[in-house]
Amino acid sequence: MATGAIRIGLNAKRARTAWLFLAPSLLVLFAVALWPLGRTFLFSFTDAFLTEPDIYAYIGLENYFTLFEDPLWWQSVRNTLYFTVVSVSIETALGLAIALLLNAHMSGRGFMRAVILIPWSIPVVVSARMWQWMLHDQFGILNHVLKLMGVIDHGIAWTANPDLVMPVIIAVDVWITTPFMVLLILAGLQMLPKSIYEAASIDGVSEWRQFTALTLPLLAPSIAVAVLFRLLDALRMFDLSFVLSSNSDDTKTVSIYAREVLVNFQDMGVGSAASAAIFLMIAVVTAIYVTVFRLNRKLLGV
Amino acid sequence: MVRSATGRRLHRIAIYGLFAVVALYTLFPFYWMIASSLKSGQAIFDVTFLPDLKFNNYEAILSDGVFLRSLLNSLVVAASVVALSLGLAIAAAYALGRIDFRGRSPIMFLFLAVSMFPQIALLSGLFEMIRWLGLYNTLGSLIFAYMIFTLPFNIWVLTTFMRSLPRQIEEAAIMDGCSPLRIVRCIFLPMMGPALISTGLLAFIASWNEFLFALTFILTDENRTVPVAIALISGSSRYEFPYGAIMAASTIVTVPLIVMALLFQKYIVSGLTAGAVKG
Amino acid sequence: MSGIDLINVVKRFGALTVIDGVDLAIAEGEFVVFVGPSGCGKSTLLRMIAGLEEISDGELRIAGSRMNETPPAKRNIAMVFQSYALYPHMNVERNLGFALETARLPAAEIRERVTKAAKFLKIDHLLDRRPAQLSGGQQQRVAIGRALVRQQKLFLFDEPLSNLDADLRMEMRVEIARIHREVKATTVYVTHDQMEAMTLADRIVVLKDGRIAQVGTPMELYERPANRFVAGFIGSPRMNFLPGMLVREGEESVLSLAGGRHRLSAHDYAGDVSLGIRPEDLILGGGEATLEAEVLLVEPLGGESLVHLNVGDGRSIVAKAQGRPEIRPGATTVVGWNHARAHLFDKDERALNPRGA
Repeated sequence: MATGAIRIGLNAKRARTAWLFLAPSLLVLFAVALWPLGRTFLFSFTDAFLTEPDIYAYIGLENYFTLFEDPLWWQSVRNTLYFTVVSVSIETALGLAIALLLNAHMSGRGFMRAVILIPWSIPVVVSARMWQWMLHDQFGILNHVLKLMGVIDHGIAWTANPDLVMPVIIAVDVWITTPFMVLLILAGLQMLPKSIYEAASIDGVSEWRQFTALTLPLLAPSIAVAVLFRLLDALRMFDLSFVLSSNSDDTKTVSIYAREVLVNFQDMGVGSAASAAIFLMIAVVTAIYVTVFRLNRKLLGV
Repeated sequence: MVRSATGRRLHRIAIYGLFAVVALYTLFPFYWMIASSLKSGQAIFDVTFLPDLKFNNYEAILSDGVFLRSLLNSLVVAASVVALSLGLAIAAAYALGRIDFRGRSPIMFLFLAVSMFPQIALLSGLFEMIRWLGLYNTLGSLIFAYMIFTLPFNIWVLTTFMRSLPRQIEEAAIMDGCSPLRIVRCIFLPMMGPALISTGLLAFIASWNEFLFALTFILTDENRTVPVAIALISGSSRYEFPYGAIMAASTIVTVPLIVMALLFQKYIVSGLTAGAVKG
Repeated sequence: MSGIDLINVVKRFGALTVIDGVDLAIAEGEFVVFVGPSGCGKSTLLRMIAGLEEISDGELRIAGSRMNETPPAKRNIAMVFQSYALYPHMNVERNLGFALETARLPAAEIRERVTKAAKFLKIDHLLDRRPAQLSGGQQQRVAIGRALVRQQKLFLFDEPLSNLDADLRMEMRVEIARIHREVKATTVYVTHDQMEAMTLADRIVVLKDGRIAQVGTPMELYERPANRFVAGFIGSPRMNFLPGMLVREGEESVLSLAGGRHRLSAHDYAGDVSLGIRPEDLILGGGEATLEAEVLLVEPLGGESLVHLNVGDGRSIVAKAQGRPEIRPGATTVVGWNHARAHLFDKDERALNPRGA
């Protein structure tokens, strides 16, 4: 080695390699996430229009005033929160029940796991179309069956009735995403140590006590993580509502609202303000959730 | 818990009964979709549980160049996203999983945070970026945009996996004169098969199914992906809604995913749980 | 020239100092063993020579050139790992040839060197197998072969035998000795097993808490341990220690033990000492100096026996006797030793020698 050359330690060389390997991913994520997020916030303070985003002036908080004065925005916020709370609750309960069922040591378990995976893995658009057809007021199979059973005499307009459309959307979402919950909870169940159940059985602890005193507390971290993922997903729900009941204000979510203002009305300012508000809303919900459940960094594996 | 023989039998029957209920709930909509797609013309409006096995709807949808084109588009987008996101993620995972450097934790946290971004919050900024890159109304815009959810997830899962590989294997390779690139390519990559399959499958499914960006960044029919194509099929009036065609198209789109779910169930589940439990 | 020089080498992990100023010169062709209890820093020191750990302070020279910043691959070193670290997805042949492949040697030469090494290690019939299909001993041979094919002047072994069972360990120990005899590469070998150290080493480096406790040939360490730590570490069963007091009386020193006083030639030191005697140096029923003892237990090992004795104060010592001595637990006997075979350590645990020695 030439004398006088700067000596670079081996660790420094490794670190340099690390940054080199990370660079492409960081660059892509900057371009696709961080920069656009920053621009969204910036546009939310301007009067930009989608057709000519280069020409804009800063107008302070005016877009936010416009947004917060729009009753439709507040309705979409309510819709989103209602949808999120109800659907995630049902999915968690149902997911836990099905996971416990599939955890039984029976042949056919593997097949059931594959079956349960299917609704989650197909496009939401397809699921929406499928259910739309089954729920058709005149030709839908559901109304047909209900008529055969004598429950109703006229077909119910499931997706057109303002009182029914939100429950319908929640029901379809439950069908689509319960599998996700099942699989995550099932993975948690399978990590539980068998020996504690054997010990409990020998001690004569009833199965119900085993469930409430052992399974639930041990499973809580798995459920908490699964619920967090579902919350984040439900809060940004877009496609299901869009396809199943695109024009209904009763099921308009914040994502649909924001896109409508941005793309249909071409109002980049207010649309960005709505987007920014959604971002903050989700960030706040996540922060509260993580704090409440003390999902510390350790649990998340950082 | 000790049960009598009849008690055990009842227990088994009850569980299989519940299995059947869950399977019916899960699968009936698919059956109905396929059955409806196989009824021709007006027959679709008669509620009969057995299909006619008429393929008119399929003929119609497949002779429609636009739908075939959107299938191809979806395939191109999903395959490119898988290749690109895996390639980038493997390199990043090596850095994050194997090298101890300052800034590692904040970067892991950044990736985690990005994976939680709501897509809608990026829409206007991304719109501008995509225009600026000249990708508007091209498949490239989607390949680019889909990195938001595939890349952080892949990095996260692959980093966890890389970290679990034995340290001495890498050190042996270092002693054997391998550059970091060669270690990744010749030593780690072949050892990562299962992790690559599960992350690849999940990236494929996510890209194949994505709707919001596909609806927003693509303007013309010939560049659309399948979910948007199916969402936009409409009739001239509410009563001429072409449900037969829609069901046929939906079946075509769904079949590859069902096959994938059945074949690679283990990998998909392990990827999902790796991302959630450890991520 | 392929000696290794460590000059005041230091390794710190944050606030923790793992290697605390090691100076050592290893000659070309020498077989040096680093030995010590777990946590003494022996593996870290080896990994610093390999370049797998950065050197915090001091200098490492190989063949006279500073190597601190040189990447491992350019240090002309081959290394064998404790876990063998074979590439699981490659067959034995590719495992062996991978370094040469990486160095872009012509295929013919790779094949020639691999075949030669495989024959040398008697694994030429396993070339098509994957590591998972090999026994532990075979994997170990492949790991050594992988180092051999590179024809380096410097070999590093990181506890290579600790994953093997006793029989195989002996077999591989002999094998490693044979390789060193034939290849004549400078070798640094890390182990926690003092038996491996004694049988393999030209010189042993005993490490304790990141410092060198003593360097010397196996017999030097055995005969003249520089301190109580080395005395206790080398030799099996371990050396017996008895507390005592050394006092000057004219031209002599007197050692007082719990069981008696013994006149020794003059020492400069006076004060608390510990007397160290190896079990094999204790004589039942005789010796220049003796102690009364009660027999606690006799463990016959076949050709010899270990006799556990209580020498008062509840202190027990172990004596090694030939055959099977005719004594029973509970009996009282006399145990003794010759002064030339006894070791004295001062209160700082350093070895004491008579004046002029």
